[in-house]
Amino acid sequence: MSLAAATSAAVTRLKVRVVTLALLVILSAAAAVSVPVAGRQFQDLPVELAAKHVTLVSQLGRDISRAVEFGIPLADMRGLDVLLADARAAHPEVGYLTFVDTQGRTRAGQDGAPAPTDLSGVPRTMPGSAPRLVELDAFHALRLPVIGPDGAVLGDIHLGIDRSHVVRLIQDRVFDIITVMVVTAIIATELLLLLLDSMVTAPLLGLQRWAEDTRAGRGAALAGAPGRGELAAFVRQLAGLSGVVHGTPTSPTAGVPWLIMLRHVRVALFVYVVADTLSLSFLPLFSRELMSPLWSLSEDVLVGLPIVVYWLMSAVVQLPGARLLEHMTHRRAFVVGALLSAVGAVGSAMAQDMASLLVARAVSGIGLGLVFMVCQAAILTHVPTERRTYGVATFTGVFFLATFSGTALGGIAAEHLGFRATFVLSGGIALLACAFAVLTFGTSREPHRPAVQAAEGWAAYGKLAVNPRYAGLLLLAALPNRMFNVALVFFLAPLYLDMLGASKAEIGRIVGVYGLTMAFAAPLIAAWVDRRGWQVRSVVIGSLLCGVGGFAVVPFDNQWGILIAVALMGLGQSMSIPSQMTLIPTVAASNARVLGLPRLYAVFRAGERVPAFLGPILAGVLVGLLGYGAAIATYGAWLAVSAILLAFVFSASRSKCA
Amino acid sequence: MGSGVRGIRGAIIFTVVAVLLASLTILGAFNSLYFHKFLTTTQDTRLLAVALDARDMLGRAVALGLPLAQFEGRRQVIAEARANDGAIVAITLYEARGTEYAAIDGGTPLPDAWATAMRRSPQAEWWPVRDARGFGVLVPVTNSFDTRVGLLALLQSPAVLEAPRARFDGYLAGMTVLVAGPAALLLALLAFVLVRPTVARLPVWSAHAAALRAAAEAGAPLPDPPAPATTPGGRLIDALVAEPLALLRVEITAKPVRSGETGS
Repeated sequence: MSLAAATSAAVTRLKVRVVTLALLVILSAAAAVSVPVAGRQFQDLPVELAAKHVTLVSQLGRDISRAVEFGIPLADMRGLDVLLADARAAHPEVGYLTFVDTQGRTRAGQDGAPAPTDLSGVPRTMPGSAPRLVELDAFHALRLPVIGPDGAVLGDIHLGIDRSHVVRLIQDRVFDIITVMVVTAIIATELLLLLLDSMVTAPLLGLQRWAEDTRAGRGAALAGAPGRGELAAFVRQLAGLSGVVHGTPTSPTAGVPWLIMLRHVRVALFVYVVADTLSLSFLPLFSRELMSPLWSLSEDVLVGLPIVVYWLMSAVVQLPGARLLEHMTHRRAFVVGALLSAVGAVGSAMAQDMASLLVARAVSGIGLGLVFMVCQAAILTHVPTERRTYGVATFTGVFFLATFSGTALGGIAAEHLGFRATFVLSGGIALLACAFAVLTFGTSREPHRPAVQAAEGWAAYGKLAVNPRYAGLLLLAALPNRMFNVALVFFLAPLYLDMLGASKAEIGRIVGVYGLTMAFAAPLIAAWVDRRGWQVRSVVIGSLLCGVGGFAVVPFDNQWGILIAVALMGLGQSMSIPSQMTLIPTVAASNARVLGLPRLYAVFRAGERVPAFLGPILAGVLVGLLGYGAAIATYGAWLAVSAILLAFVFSASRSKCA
Repeated sequence: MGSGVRGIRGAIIFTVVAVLLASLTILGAFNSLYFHKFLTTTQDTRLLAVALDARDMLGRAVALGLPLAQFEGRRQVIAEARANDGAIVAITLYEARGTEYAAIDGGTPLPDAWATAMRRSPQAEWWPVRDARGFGVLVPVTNSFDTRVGLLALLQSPAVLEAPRARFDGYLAGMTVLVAGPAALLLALLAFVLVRPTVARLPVWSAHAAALRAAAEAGAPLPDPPAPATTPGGRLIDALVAEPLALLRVEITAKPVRSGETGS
């Protein structure tokens, strides 16, 4: 094994061990707290619920007492059944609700779940005292006396809280807690990997390069190790010795290996996307709160408008953003983008009407577009050509991990802090991403190009448009993939699952499979694709997989069919999207010499994203004509045909070149 | 561990323990917030039952258009609601005056925050409200012409939440501390054991490099390299630096260094 391979293997081994160990202990500790706390809630929730039921039963008792006061004998009180049935229907957690007179005869309330046959052992809760609950069969049983107008007891109202209701409350909590634990694990992993890469990987890679240079007889400079630790002291000693031997002072340099730069971009992007996606789950609800008549638009259109404006601006900013990128460092461009997002988030928090919310979301959208662009550009600048698919897949993976984390945390934050406070939190986290980028991004930038004259520019863009492989990649891979993605994940799957009777939590979990698959599969597949140089095959097979997934709803016209379609889309796009990005510099090399890579990427992103809004509209038309299953299958067919055509385009271009 | 835990080991141990404690704190805060929300919702629902009952009585009284302020029985309705629920600290009946609302007794206007809550969800059947006295519900009072003639606000004391919340939070904090202490110790120990083999070898080579430099500057005999490492982490460091240091050693031997040439 070469020295580089041995170093890389040893560092990877150390990172895997430390992260696995930390996650194991952290998750075990979280489980050790959560299990008894859930048990405690199982005890406490029924008691608290009973406080509500005491009030309910007291009111029912008062109504019975009044009827008796009006001279209606208990035996003739025919409305009692209806009274109790209505009360039970209004409180679904109540399993049974019945009135038993002083003779022990059940007088009313026979509907609902059958009450336990013997209720005599249930202790009475007297008015004004704490509820006395006992567990009886499948219920938490409660009993309150009904006092007549003369002060005598007329009987008892018995109420049973269904234990399965409490179990459901706890179960819902378990899914929430699992979500929090998964997000915690993701954030912990990112933090630990950043620390290990900064403190161990970077200096060891620096040492490895120094060792190789020294062996080769080249002037050896050492990458500096931060802090006062053992590695830093060691590097300083070696640098000093090297200076003594070669007669010139040698101080540790600050060269940063590409793996570390990739980590820095990854962490900055992760923090930024978490901030940006905090509002994802509640933006339509917030829009509805601010709903006011605007430009005679319908309510349905208005609710979705902030989302449309946000995504549209993120796509539209790509072309001017690419020009901007040539005039500033990656660090400055990232800071500008993240600051705009922070301003947009705070603006959203302060919005008092729909118009101001739209402006704020547009500003956030511009920020998102810039940050995306600069992160992709920075990755392509730092990562060696042969590892670009891995670099882009890292970008894709971290985007989906952060989206999952941000959305989950945002939902929880909005529930407890409110929408506006969550927007402010989002702005604060975006500022953290800014600070991190300032500290770690260095001074890398895109090569400056002389301004292209308008006529030359249009001619260059014209040549790009007729480049068959670039156009094929855009129109036969990126565009259909993006449209199917937006249509299935954000529109068809949630609506179809809702129609199939899935709960909101189930819909969230099934749709979430897409993001999780992308997050975990994309980097693994990319490393494999990089090793073999199979980018074109990866794009074609990935698109085919998405298409095949669309057909899954034909034999499985149920939740499983949707799950398969979503999972195959995640897997297929894990193969397809990173490779599309990697192929751009290769398929449009001559265009890149005139326009520059950032513009090529900008045109590509704008070309796939701007029309992506047609995805849900087209899906809606197809659903109206064919139904949900056939609409998804039609999209699948489009993807499959596009993938086959793309294979022909690349095959024909290769033959022509040959 | 002594001074050995500084540097990389110290930073890693500090970070993993900090992440552990942060995770448990977030989880604890989440559990506490959930329980608080559950309590608030449950108590709101309890109070809502009282409010709707009182509201229905008021609604029946003003069904045919009698102004709320002229309904003499309103005080009895309010007193009965108060008597049935010991947690209630305030009941206020507001009368509609154009688009505004003002308390029938005292004339104080509807608080701005409550009016805003109503504007945000105009179709809601009730609105959760709070002020310095407590938290509660605001329900509309309508007559038989489906005209909103007033609002009824019931506030209950925060004390109804305090005791159960304190009990639950106390239990949660106890469990968290009970788990966090041993888990932090275990994590610190395991992280130390994992990282040690890789970094423990560094001071050996640091000392050797320092000794080489000192010997080179003084023209003294060069020290022998350290014995090979026995752990995989140590062998990696050996593999990285042993040969380059040996080459430097050869250079020193071939071209003795004068102290004036040193620059660092």
